[in-house]
Amino acid sequence: MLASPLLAVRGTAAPALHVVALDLLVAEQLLTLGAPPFACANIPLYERLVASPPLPAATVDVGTLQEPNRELLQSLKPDLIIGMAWQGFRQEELTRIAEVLWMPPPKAGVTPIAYIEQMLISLAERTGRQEAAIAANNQLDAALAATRDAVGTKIRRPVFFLRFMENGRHAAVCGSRSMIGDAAVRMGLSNAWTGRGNASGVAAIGIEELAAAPEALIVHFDRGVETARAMARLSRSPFWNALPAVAAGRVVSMPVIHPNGGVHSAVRFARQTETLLTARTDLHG
Amino acid sequence: MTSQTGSHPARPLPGRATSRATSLAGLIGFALLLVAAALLARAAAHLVPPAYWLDALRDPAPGQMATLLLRDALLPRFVVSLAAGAALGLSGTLFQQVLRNPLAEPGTLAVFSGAKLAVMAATLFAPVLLTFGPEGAALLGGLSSFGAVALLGARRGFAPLVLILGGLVVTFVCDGLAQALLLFHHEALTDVLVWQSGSLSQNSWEPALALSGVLALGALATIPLIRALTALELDENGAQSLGVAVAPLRLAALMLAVGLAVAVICAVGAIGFIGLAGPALARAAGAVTLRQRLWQAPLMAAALLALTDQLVQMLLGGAMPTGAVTAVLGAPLLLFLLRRVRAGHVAAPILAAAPPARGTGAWPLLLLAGGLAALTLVALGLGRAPGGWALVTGEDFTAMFHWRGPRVAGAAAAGALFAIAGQILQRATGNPLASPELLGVSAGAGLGLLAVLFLAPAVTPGLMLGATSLGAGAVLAIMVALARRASLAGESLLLAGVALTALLSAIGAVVLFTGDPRTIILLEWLSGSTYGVTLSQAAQAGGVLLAVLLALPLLRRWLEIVPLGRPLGRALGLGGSVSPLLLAVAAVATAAGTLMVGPLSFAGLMAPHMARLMGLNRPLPQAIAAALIGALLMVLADFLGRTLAFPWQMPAGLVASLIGGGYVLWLLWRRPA
Repeated sequence: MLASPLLAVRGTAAPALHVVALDLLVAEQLLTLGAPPFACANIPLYERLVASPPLPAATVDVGTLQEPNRELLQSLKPDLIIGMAWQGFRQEELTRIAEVLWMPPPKAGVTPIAYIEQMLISLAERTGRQEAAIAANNQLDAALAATRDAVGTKIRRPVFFLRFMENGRHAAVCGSRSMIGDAAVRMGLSNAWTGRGNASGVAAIGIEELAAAPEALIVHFDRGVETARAMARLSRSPFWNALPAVAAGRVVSMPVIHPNGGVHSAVRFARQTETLLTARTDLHG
Repeated sequence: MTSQTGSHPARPLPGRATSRATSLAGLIGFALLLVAAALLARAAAHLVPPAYWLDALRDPAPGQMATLLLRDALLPRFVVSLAAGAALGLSGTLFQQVLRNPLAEPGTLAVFSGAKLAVMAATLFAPVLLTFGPEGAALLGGLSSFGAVALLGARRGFAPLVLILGGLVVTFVCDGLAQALLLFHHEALTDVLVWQSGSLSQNSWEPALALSGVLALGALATIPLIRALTALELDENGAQSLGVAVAPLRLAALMLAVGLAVAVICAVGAIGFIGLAGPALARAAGAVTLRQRLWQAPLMAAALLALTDQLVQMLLGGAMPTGAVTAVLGAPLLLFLLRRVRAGHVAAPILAAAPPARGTGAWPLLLLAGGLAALTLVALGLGRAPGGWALVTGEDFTAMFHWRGPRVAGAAAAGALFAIAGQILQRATGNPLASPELLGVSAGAGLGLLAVLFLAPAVTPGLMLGATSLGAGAVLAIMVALARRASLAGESLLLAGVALTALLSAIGAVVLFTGDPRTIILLEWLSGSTYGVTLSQAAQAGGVLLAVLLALPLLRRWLEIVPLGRPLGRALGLGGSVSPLLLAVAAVATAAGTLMVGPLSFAGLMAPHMARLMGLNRPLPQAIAAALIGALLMVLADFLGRTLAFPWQMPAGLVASLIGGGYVLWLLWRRPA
């Protein structure tokens, strides 16, 4: 993992590759490295879920994550196509177009933050941006440590990280296998949701399941109009209003972050958390 | 509607049913309800000791999570399950009574799918419509889709089969459009999806009270209609001679039924099959008169939903929406019930009446073959690039052929295979609606595919063809077994087929809910994508097609001796006069087609009809014409799916179901009986 200065120099000197990102996480990580993909699958989805860092306006949309348009890819003549391993299913033929790199899923025991950091390094090796990767990873470690010092050591109660759904009956909650859940642990916060999660560590739960941790703090991601509708419905629910977290004002919101974003998203999450919770000294302890 | 429509004269007169029948259906309903209540009590006792229940209800101490959960989550959820179940049961009963159709319910009449599509579309394109909740959009959607079904039905005097066919087709079209919206806007629709998943989870009494209120209003509104609705059991003239204004009465009852279903979908989403299973179970348990059914069917439906919901909570925790599970449970229940449902409504074949022309068929066949060749060339050569449309030639053609060849070949083979399977099933059963799609044969193939994908350690093409063939064959075997019972009419078979199709989509929804990204790929495959078809897979489908085509002349005798217009039950009752080989061919053809384009293209239904409309009545030319039409249809669908939304792609099966659905709707509209 340690990149020698020589490697770094050789890396930066390499000609820029024409890279296609077939997945949002790959796209975000490439942008974090300063090696933007020139084509990307489902750009509207990236802009909705990840948004930062922004994709250059000229980026070509190559279709859905599941079925990127191979005819278009072929005409684009990329140097390298990068996707996530699950996308490689039935995609052996892509190698006819260009070299293809499938990012492996996390190995057993590798936590989400370690995973995105390792992934950033390996993407950097392919794009000659090792210095940028090391800088970004250091930045993330520093941001997580700073938040730990600022709030993690002070907030003892468990924390839910979730997004309320507009029907006011459900929420998407981040478990320990999501980037958000792992970042919380690194920041010294204990995740109040210890239940099930899907493959990406996010679970759709009923609001009543929040009762499992009455002492918890609730951090929710604000997605605009849907969140506003959700809060309006919840405010009419006696159950919601009787939840200790609600009654005691322990519900705070922050701008939405993709639960399975990359290093850049994790840095944003750490900084948002620090800003939000440092100010709320009433929640400390 | 003539005397053919039912066995009403044989029925006991309203109000004079045997008391034993009344108590049996009622008893079963109450017994199920008791079991559900016992499970509720068990869950409640886990939270709060029974001695403190009353205190908890009166005044849960603030911060006391257990009492709060009991009062504001567990109980309202139970009430919601009862109210939603009863509303669906009442809705189904009203639909069935007015339309004199035992298959009528919000699901089969497209109310759910229309409401769902409208809410999705409003979320994306007119969010202002949702300012005060989804009710307005859902009602608009539910009324429109049902209105479309009813308009079609009205052209044929509300013949039961036409109506349900119309309902299914409108459902397929709405679902197809919803799927297209999801393909392009999945993330923006996440919340709507969770809303409509059929999860009964509650944290407030608001939905429970609202739904109960709607149910009460619905019940009240039903009371003045009872006498007149009962009169509808006589034929229309009889009802009119009794002084019943038939049209406004029907309209009022139907609006009521739609309203009840929309209230449920707004509160908790689509709850599959309860509206069908409740009334069916009540009837099977002896509820005969309208008065009996009007309370016993909602009771049964409420008990079924409550019981299912309690079991779901007990066994699956919050992980699975109850609506997804009811759909999974509903299908086997209905298959079981079919043994007892008497064929009350034998409908005349509606599409069998093809133009009487008896051409030899050479010209139409040549024309079709030429058309297919031309379309194939276009599909291989024409595409879109960032600059616009591009016709590729020479070296570029070869390069693009690598991507386009397998999917065009796979689509063509699949269309032809479905068409032949549909042709066999329609000839063999004498039922013009028999098709791999509507008899559930392709659903069986899809279930086989799901099983192999999730259970087999390694998936090989041969294994997939084997599993799908077994699935399709098993469904056909069940259908044959059901049909051998002399009492079963084609309608019951279609009901079983619909149940299986719903089972497949229900399991698909359950799988989707697990959120594994790979399942999205698998479901996309099931939705009919030819994107991943490889040359060897296309060759496999082509091989099966070749074998089936070669077998056709051998099977001709079987196809000819079964005249059109004869119910499968009778045809099969003649000492098994339908060759098992014929059914096996249909099963394998369906399986191989499903592997290419998924279970829900309409090729198997449409292509034989169109062949007949071209004047081809003899089985062999008709089968070959159908195969050519099926291939044409699927190649066209694949081409459109690949190019319309470039660089995004729509699955060929999805496009085909939209084209096919539109075709069948047009057909139903254009050709009054």
